[in-house]
Amino acid sequence: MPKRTDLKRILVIGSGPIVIGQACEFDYSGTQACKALRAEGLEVVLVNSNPATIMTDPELADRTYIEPLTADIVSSIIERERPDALLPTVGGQTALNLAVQLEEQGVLRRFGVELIGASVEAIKVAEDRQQFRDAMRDIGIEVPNSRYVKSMREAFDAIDDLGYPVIVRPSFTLGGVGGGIGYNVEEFREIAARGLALSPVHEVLLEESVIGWKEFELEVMRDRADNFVVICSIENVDPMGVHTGDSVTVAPALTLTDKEYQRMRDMARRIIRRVGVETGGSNIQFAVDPDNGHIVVIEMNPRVSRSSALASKATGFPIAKIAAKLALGYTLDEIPNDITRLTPASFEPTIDYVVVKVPRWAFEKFPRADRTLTTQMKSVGEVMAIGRTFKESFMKAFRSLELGGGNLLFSKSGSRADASATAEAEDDDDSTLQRSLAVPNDRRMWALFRAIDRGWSLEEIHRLTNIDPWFLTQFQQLVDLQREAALVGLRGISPELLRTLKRAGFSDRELAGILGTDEDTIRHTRIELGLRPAYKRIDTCAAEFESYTPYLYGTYERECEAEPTARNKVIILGSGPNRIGQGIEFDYCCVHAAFALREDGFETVMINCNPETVSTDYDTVDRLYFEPLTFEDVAAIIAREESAGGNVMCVVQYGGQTPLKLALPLQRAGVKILGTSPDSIDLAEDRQRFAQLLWDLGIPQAASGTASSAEEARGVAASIGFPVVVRPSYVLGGRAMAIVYDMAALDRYMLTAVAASPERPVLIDKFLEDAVELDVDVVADATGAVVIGGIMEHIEEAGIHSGDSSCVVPPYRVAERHIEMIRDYTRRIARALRVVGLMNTQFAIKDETVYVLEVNPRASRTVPYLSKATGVPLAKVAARVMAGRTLAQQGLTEDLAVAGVFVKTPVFPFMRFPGVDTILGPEMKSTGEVMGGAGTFGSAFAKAQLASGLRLPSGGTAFISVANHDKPAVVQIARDLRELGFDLVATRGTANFLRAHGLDVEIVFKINEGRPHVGDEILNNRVQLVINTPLGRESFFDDRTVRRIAMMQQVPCITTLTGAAAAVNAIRALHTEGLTVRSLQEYHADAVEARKPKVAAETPGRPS
Amino acid sequence: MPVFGICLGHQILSLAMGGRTYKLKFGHRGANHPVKELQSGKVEITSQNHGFAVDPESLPRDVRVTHVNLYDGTVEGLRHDRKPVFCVQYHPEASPGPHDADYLFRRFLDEMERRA
Repeated sequence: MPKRTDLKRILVIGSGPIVIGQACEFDYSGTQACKALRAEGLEVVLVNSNPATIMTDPELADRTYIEPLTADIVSSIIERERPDALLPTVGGQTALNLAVQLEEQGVLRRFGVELIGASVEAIKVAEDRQQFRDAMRDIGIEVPNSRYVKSMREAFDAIDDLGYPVIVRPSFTLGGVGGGIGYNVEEFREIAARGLALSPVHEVLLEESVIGWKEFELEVMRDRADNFVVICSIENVDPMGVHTGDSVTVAPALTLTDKEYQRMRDMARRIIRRVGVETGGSNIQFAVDPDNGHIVVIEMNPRVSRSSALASKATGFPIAKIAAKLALGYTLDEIPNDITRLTPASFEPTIDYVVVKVPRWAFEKFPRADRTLTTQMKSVGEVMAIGRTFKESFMKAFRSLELGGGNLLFSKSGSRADASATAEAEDDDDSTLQRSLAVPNDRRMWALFRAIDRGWSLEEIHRLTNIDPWFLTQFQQLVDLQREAALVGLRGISPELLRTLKRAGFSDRELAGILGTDEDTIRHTRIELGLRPAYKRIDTCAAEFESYTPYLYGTYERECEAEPTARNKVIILGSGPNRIGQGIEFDYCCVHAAFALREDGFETVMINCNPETVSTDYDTVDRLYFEPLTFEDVAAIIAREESAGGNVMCVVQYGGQTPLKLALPLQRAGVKILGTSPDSIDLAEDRQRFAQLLWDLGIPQAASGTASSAEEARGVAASIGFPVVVRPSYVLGGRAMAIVYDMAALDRYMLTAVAASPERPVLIDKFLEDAVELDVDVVADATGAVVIGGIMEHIEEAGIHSGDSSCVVPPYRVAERHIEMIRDYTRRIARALRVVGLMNTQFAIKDETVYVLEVNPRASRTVPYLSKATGVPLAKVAARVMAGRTLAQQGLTEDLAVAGVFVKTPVFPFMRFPGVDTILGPEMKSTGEVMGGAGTFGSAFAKAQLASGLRLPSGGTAFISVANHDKPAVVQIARDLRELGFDLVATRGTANFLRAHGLDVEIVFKINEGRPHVGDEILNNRVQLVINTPLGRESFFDDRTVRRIAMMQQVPCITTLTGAAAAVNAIRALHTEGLTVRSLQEYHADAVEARKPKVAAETPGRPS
Repeated sequence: MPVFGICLGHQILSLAMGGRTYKLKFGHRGANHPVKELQSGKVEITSQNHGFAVDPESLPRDVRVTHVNLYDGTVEGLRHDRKPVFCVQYHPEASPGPHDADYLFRRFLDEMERRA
């Protein structure tokens, strides 16, 4: 069937900020969809609140709205743009929920917008568990017994039937938020209550447990002619009970017989047909009873999902792109397979390799969080590895995680990055070990290897973990290989054994650890023996047809299919797994480098191991290597690319710390690094060298020092005076960073938080209390020209990590003379460091002095946001500069300006970590960000808040409780709130202070003062806004409880006075202006207009 | 009597009806070959294992091609216009392999029952 011709303009909804459960895989799918739709000649209108995405690049859509993803806002966009259809299936659960809302509110009908990709009926059948269960019953497919409940009373009625353990799944939440497993009545009460509160429809599903059953997923597609294909089967190594996003998974499924697999395939076909997904992809999850092969279906996602991204990367089949085309009416047999070019998309990819995905958690950021893995996803990122065998892929995946340390799973010394976890792990006794096997947690795989190492039988381990014996046998074989190697040692190792170890995926570094030598020795021994990886192509068809797409993975085999060219090429090192502090922003920059350099005629090569990203899409670069970002793997690829001739250059400044750590080793190995020299990068990281540089330039810096021991730290602190900021060197995202107010706290920090050493000293800076912080991103070229992309003012005061602070461009409270000073300092620093490319600088203004806080001559987290605000793709500009062009050649001679006000606001994962305080500090905790744009600061801030999930109230009651030193400043805020019509309540101290200033304030109890206290008031919906600054250690518990209750009730809770002032500003804007929508293209056209030389306007003689 | 040919059976039936076979440059092997059933336009995923194919030009006028391979357009199924004879080049009975072509057995049984 040919493409429909009645559709001209399509609205695509993105997935919003990066949160746990919804990460950059939806940027990847949305980007693919936008490209596919435009290639078909359609106009695309895109809405997404996340500026750090490729899909919100203004070139990717005809109209791009970076606006909050709420029904009101999207309906304004629909009213303005009048699209013919809405594609809701490439923006995750967010887009799907929004589409259902728009349908239910009648917006789609009112404006004649057709839903394509999935109908509301299909979405409901798939999403509503009751309907889904009934539908499955219709077609004779079993689902676990379950019951919907809307109250605790109904919940307790249902539990009698279902029994314990019971799975609690809230309706319409993503990534299983608020879900869990209740093993007893107490747990059940807690989880069910939380689930009811978190579900937008206040409903949870209680489901009979199939914990311990084997878990599988099928990625399937169906077209409107009822053609059906399975793209990929995925098996979870961790059985049922652990969210699939938190499981180690493998593709294809490895422990099913063909009969079982075909039964599952037949069921999948019946399910997608019954649910009614007519054009697109779906993900269907099954559980299989290991004792008898009995299959039940768990759930179905009628959209492109996280697993679809994984399946696309695992097979080379672009699910999102094909789904978009199917939505336009094509059938699968009419769409060509890009990789083979000659064959159609109506086929099932066959793979002659094994893919392993491993999640990456960020528990080190949330020390109080429960590390148990359940049905609610907790990981923040993932890696994927490809190899010829399960063992090889598994080992490659674990080294891709970048957890630090050498020998990963086999480690005795463990990783420095997660020292506490390793220390605990090494000392555990058998019963602790038993527990960490039986109760799934983020360190279970390490525990499992330890158990094997201690000689526990596989039967015992299987009994504890329910992990399939096939996988356990593979692990046992890895341990056996390691032992064999350790036994013979470096001298006795035969070339055959070394080859076997390499083929099993052991890295040089791991082997060095096992054989008691260093990585270089292993590397040389290996290369002397001719042991080098060969590269195979991902071709969707197991080499049946020729592959035209160099999408490659390395393995220790003979025949290499890399076929490098003799062209000049640039290798871009990606940023590896998403983590807090290094996320999609860096992938965005890498993708931009690739786009720019490709346009300029370079051959582009990407190395990355994160399956969620646009950078690992096979059409982003000319050649893609899906490989770990370690020195060994990267050096091997560079050697292979160099072997064909042509200049090979490397970009290491775009992917965050991951590639930066490789800069010096690569340079030493003779690799040409583009742009700013690794030495300059090192200079900026090295406190002493950097302090010297600033001294020479006469630029003020907060007093600082470095310490490699606790004694040294005390000395430094004594000389510069408390409070101080302490942090380890070479980290991103403020890992283990803290503000310390006294000696005792400093000692505690030095003892417990970091392992300081002369190579890795701890940095100690004077903390500038209440200073205003600013971020500056610039591009500098080899001629010394420097263009400032933007100066971003933090809304929260100093002390909160820049990634966790809202910020605004242009600055709104900073004096022009300070701005000038910042511009001057920035230029001088960029020139002194001979920056060629991007540089980010952070400043603090306190008492009329502008201090430099830090300088990072590399891509920063704010580059995408600033690019969206200004309309100038800074990462692209800088990539061209690195490749030799000047800023002037690119038409950039002036610092950039914006037309409008753009606020960036972070989003946090606190909702998922009960018990973790929501207070912000110098250690970054946010997972993603949103942007709000408007004509005024107030509106832009209100939009950013709304986009981040906080709807600022336009009236109601505000609760205020602030620290003593904040009391004078809160008076104005309270007064403004009164003027805006708010009633005020406050704790006794704050209330008395405000009353003394003539404000009418009601007193409310603190949590520990009696009842009803402020928590009750919030729970009873009698408080609409909370302003609560931390009061110090004593009332820590009290504050924390208030903040957490507010968060769970989705009442905005503001913890800084500057944030409160901004919120007041925003509420005022809501009163006076309301929220309107505007596309990026319109903002950018204004910015271009403003940049035009003024003379043109003044030229006389042209009557208007 | 109804006749249903599979794989070599398909080739023998073709020869018997006057057609010719030829050697493929690359044989068809594997469990993921898309085959289009021409009447309905539906695509089925099939198991295949053959090195020869039937030349459609060689077939008499009362034999029609019912299925083609979407990879290379070769003949995957035939039926006789007047006689209860049909056949496929691929393996609807295969295990390992998908069950998309199970309907052929239903069709064969129906043919037999109709004549019983």
